[in-house]
Amino acid sequence: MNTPEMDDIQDQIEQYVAGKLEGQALVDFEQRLSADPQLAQRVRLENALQQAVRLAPQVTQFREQLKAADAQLIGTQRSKTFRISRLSAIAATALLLLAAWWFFNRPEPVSRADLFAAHFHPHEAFSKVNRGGDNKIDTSAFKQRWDAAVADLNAGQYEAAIQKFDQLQTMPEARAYSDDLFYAKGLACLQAGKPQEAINSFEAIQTSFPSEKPWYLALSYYLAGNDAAARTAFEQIAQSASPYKKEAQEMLESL
Amino acid sequence: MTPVQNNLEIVEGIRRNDGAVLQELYRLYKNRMIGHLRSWENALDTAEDIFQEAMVSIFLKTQNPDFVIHTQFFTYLYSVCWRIWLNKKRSDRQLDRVRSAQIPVLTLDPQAEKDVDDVELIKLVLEKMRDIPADCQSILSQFYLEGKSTQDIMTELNHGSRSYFYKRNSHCKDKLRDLVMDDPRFLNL
Repeated sequence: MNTPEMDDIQDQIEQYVAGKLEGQALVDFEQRLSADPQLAQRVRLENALQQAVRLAPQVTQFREQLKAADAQLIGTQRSKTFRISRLSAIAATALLLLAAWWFFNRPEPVSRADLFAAHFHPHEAFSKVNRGGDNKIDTSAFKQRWDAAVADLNAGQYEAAIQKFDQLQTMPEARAYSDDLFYAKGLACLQAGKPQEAINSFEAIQTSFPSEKPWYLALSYYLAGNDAAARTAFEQIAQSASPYKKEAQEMLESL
Repeated sequence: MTPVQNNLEIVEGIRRNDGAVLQELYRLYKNRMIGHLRSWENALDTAEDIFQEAMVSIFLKTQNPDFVIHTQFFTYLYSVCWRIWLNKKRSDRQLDRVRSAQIPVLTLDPQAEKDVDDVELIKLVLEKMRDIPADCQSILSQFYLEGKSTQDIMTELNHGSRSYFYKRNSHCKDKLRDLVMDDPRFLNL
């Protein structure tokens, strides 16, 4: 409970803060104020109280505006996050579609057999088996067996052809035609899927087939899975004036 | 064109409670300031509260027509936030726990720190106003804010007795004063 004196001081404080204290009363109050820290504190509090009461509605509105600004910022950030998420989803979908497209349209892996087939031309190879049309063997038994072996080769009877070429090797005439026999048997072995036997046959060629021997030997190495030997053989061909130079370069790119 | 080009426009926008200016200030500075605040005060809620209190402190200062900011606005805002955080630590008696990692990295604006202290008492009164009865809030508001005469307020609030009204008015003010003075923070203000 305030005493009358306290009420009187409080009235003076309120009037002073409100700027309503005048004349001698103002002079007296300011003198007392400078000497009384407690009074100074009460004046300060009254000043704050009056300002607070005056500003309270505006501060309430200001806080509401701050909330709105915050909500706007959060909304923008969420929208940005949503846009990023949406873009991510679109990008992910596009990637998925791209991956699916690639999966269904991807180039088939080139198998060793396919690559070999692309560079092995049987007709061209076989045509050289019949080279010479050598009259010396036209009427002999050797010639007959030779023709039969080549007929098997051209007919795709590779195992039969290999047997016949092996039998021909045992005949006395074979010495004169050994390179032709090894070449033909090598081709038959390649076609029969016997690359190692093909290598043996091609390596046995002495002097004939100077372009064909290295080429088909290289293909045989490749088909046998001996990539190191195949690469070396293809490189030698690619660096030479061989008619298989271009194909050798292509093979090197594929290896 | 952004609604804030310089400190004058910022101060004027805050003074007017301009929503567009406040949105722009939030867009430009809030996340940046919250980042600094969280290096001092890890809790996001506390950091958010300090940021909002800093904006309110600046708003209160802008009500003085002579108020100007002499540094970059962000430097001022940073200094206000720092001071509020430091005052909070002081009132929580945790000042001795302030670590070197919490030393401000920007050069503080001394004016901003003084401005925070200037309005702290007003903010404390505003806080305590919420704790007085509704009719007290109304009496004080009309008496101080609207400059109405005692007779007008008595009529409006249906107070028949002039002496009762004076008593009630006096009681409301006393109640508010007591609430402020009883708060431990008052001693540091």
